[in-house]
Amino acid sequence: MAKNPYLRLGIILTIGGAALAPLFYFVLASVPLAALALSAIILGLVSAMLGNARPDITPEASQMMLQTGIENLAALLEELGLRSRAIYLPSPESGGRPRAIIPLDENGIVPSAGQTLPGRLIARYGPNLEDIGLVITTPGAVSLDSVGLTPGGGPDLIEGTLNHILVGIMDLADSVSVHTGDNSIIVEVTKPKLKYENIWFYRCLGSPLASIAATVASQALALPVRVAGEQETKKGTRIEIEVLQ
Amino acid sequence: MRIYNSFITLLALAFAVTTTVLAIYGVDGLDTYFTMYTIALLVLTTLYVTISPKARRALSTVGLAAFAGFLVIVVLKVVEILGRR
Repeated sequence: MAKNPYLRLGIILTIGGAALAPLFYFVLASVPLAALALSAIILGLVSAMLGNARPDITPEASQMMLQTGIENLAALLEELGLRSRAIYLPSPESGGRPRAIIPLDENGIVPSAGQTLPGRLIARYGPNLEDIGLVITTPGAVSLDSVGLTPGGGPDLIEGTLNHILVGIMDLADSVSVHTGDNSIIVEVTKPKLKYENIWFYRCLGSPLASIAATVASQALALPVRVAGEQETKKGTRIEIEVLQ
Repeated sequence: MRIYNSFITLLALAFAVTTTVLAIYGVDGLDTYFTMYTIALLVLTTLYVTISPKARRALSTVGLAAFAGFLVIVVLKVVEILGRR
């Protein structure tokens, strides 16, 4: 028997429905019962197909890889003594993934949206000596590969894209709602599976959920953004994103 | 995979309600039941906009098969009506 629960349910429903349908229709002469068996076949097929559509990598393997990446980057941040919050930038006009820069000085100048950062880990983004930072690819940047959100698509796209990524693809939350203000965006994530932890990495980049939300917001607005804060609420997590204009 | 669970649960609920309502109204054509199930499946697949592209493709395959069945029913009905004339 298949290990996949959806596939197992699908096989049981399809075989059960196929066996019972002729029995109900020809022997018992009951159309509603035969129809019920027919619905079991359809439901079984849907379940089996959804079982086949499950990701090949198990959640445990994904969690292990995420944890490894976080710990490596946290060690690097700690070693370099970087404490400033990351600035999320949209993808450059020339193409490529959106990235985030962790500046040496948080109160320094903000890189402009159209600025092309060199493809290096440590990059200079301004004329001053302290305008230097760590350029990294965030989980949100990679998740945008399967969505195709064009830079500057507009704030209306943020909620739909975040729901698509966090609920549909990654299954990390039940739902996402977005409220847009003048210079801030509030993202409410209901029943998130990843919680905020007060560790160095999260203080710099935000939790993985906030990081994804900031990347999507930056890409949709075509503006640099920063995670201003994260709060646990009754429903889940409230993420505040600051838009840097 | 909470989204898969909710899809399967809602579909099962839609099928159960459809069967009960049609049975109460004394509908005795299996083709009517099948048509209603196909509609329920297609509507629910359309409403689940956040489902992953891979799962959407999988659901579309089942939806396409059900729609093909629906077309066969329509053709048979047309042949039946034309045969009466």
